[in-house]
Amino acid sequence: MLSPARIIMTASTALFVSTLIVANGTVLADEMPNYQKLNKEASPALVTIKCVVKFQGMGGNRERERELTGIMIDSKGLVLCSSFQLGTSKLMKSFGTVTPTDIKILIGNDTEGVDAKLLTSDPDLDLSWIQIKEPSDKGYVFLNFSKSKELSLGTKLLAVKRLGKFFDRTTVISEGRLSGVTKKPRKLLVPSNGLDVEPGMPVFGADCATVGLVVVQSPDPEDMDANPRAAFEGMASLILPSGDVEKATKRAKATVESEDEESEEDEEE
Amino acid sequence: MPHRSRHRLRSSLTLLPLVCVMSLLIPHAQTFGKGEPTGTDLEKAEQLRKDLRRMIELARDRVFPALVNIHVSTVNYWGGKERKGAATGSGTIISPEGYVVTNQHVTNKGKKFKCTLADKQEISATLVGEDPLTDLAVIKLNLSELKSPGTPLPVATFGNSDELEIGDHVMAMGSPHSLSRSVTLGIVSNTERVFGGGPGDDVEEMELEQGQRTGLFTRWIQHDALIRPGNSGGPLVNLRGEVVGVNELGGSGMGFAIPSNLAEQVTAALIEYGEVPRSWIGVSFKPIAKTGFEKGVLVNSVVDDSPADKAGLKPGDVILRINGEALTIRFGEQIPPLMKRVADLEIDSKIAITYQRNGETGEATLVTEKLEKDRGKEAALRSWGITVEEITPKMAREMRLANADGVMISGIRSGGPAQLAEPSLQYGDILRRINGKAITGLPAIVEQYEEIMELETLPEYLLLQFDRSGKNHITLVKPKPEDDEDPPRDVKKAWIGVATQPIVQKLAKKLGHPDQTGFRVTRVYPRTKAAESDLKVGDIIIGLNGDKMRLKGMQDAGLLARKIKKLDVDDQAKVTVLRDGETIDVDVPLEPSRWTPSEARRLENRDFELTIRNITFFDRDDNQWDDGVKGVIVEQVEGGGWAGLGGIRVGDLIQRINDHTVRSRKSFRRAMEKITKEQPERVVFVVLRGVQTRFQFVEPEWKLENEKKDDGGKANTGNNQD
Repeated sequence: MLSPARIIMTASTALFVSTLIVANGTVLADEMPNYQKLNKEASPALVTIKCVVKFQGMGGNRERERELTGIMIDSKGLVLCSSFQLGTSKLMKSFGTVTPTDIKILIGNDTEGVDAKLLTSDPDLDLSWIQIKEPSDKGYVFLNFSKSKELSLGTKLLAVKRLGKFFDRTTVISEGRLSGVTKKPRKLLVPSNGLDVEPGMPVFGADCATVGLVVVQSPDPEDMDANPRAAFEGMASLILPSGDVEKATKRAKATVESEDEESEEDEEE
Repeated sequence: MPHRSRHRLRSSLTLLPLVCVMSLLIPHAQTFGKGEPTGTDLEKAEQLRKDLRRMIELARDRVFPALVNIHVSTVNYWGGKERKGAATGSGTIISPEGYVVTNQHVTNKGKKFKCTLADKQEISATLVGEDPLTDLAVIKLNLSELKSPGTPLPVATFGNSDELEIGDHVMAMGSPHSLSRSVTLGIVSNTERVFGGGPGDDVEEMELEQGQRTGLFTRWIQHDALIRPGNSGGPLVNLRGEVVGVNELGGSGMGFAIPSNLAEQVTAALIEYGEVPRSWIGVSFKPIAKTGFEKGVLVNSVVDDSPADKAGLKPGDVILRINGEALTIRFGEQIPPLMKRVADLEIDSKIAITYQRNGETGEATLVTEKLEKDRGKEAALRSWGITVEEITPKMAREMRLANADGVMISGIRSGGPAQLAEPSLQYGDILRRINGKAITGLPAIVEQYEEIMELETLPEYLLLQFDRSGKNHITLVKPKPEDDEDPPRDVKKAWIGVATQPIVQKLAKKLGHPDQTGFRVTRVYPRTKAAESDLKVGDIIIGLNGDKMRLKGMQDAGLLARKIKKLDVDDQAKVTVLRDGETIDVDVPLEPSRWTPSEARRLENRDFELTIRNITFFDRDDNQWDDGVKGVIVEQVEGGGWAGLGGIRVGDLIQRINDHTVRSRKSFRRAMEKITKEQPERVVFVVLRGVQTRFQFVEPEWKLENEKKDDGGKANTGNNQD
């Protein structure tokens, strides 16, 4: 039986929902997404990464072949992917040393792939950057993550992902809405259930501009020290805004450049 | 070799002391029951104790000096790789030439043998022969390594195991758990133990490892002299000081030894031929106990195209006579002697069989063939990511192959070329051809592998033809030496060189500032910018660049690090701290985060089977090493590898190798290259373990490594990153 308080709540909720529906009706008309345009623009930049991940640590040495989707983020063959998908997440690293080897990037319908190397990772943000060793002179189609606009709750979001090799890596678009924004551990966009997100995959607005990248957010090591179950309870797939992706990429490039310049410990003698 | 007749009479030498034991114990017990023992009783008891001790001493001293502790360096093939390992067991010197009998499961996959003699001398030994069907092996001591070559060796002699009876006293000698020599005493519990395999089965078919049968001809001596792992291969000794068995199995207070009469016959053959030549007819037998027959033995199965098959024998036949001699096999215990009787016949012998089939009696003559080994040798083809095994006739039969040509894939390295092939190779595939060239057997494929891997330019792909479940497939494998890359490094972010602990609300309240949660500085790392600032241990960081630290609980333990990481590496941070009840601001220049141990540059040396890495900032801090401490940290050691056997452990800081100072990965690589070139008999690693310096002596087996031309010459340097 409903209490008087609950009746008031229910009535106000109903009013709110109806307001939303009206508002959404307007939004839907304004934000009619163009799937074909998105597919045409995004698909060429979604590449397949094949590698052998070597693990050294708890339980001995193991090797495993992995295949995941990455995103070409510049014309010179720089590929971005999820560390979690690559196997170099914070969680895996807590058990031992993880080294992806024999990395190949497959573009389009290519089945052989071109050699690539892992440049660096940002385990906090769940990002890894891979560079094609001998990039094509023709350049590559890429996605731009430089823009980062403020989005309001309810904004339409579009996610693109590729199915596996058994489905010919067909690109699939799904629709959802922005249903929340976190502040801790950082600003992250929370998609509604309808959006079929996969770590490492881009998310777009209805205008086909990138909104962000889906990342696996897990607690920081310090948080986990005091909360043994945090690794599992605090893990979620959320959207890192485009501006943060761009900033992280700049920092990654700086790290690689500084590493090239600095003398290795080997030279200390 | 003729089978020894069974003697049931004891010699008076064995019988007498035991009779003495009984005659003395009984009056002794009666005396205690009636009152104080008399002086005569005590004297007799004392004499008995002396006699018993003397008897055991005499028996012990006839065998104990001939006892050896065997250390085996093994090479196993698993997961598409060869892996070194170590095993220990016991053995007995049985001839002045230095032949030692032990178990085959001790020498199995052994490449190097070291024996510790009774006088604690350690000398090497070589494998003479193995017989997995009886789990026996013979190795030969390299007598030239004795401190005084030419000194006669202590030798034990075999006794007659057929004379043993239930209740006889026996001693088990050996090196349990690899401890130096020990003796335990017990009695014989059973002289013809076979193992039942549950309802319906009469005798369990035992395997040493998958596909390798054992115990076909054995009725074990069961005893209760305690044996433990490490006793394997050690002697079971009677009170006359004769070896009456070779201990093989044990557990739950029971030990099982191979009878000496079988062991003596097998070791003689191994010494003479390096193997035990045996006849085979291709029949398995079943006792007639539940068949309704009164005599004979039931033919349980007949192998296709075997001598029995060719002679027309069929499953269900009952063999009544072999070579005119009637036989009746009612129980499982009678099967091993029958199997042995057939196996002991000369190869190519004619056997006249009288059998019964459907109530009719028939005659058959069959010609025995050589009993072939169950399992073949293995080899690792590292750059193709597979291990392969030669196919024996038994394997070919069991896998229903048309012939024993080719080799079987016995292991695939995960992520290796064979697994990455499309279609990929799998365990159990039969490799038939490489680039169109037929593989006739194991030596052929190893030769072909070496030829290919020594080519100046490796072929992009190899075309492999293989059989799987009776279907013939082809695939392409890309040969590729196994390289290890440095682990990836993370993005450098802003960092302050302090360690902290969170001060949550309850703790803040107790400290007298309930509204000021934050992070207490527990350590200011030396040689950092923080160390040059005014930050001190005990300061509680309550703000950063004007932002207050608000901790709701331990789930916010990472808050400070997160806030710092958001800043730029070159920024200057204003850190607000609580110190002695006062709030002060401290300017701290930020700096890039330091490499962690998992990001350190590393190097694997495959010859010595260890991986090292450079020292990181955090290693120095954890171990309180100043900048003057140099070396490389051992990251991983294979237990049975040279470094592992030499006592090198994970965490050791290698500072010197022979005369070469090791300061970092670079000098380690250089030192190992020189050592690999010089191939010294002994390599001395000077390591820092905790606060102590240690000298670890590693004895590489260069010859073995040189025999293994692998990875296109990669093994020549040992380092996998040149």
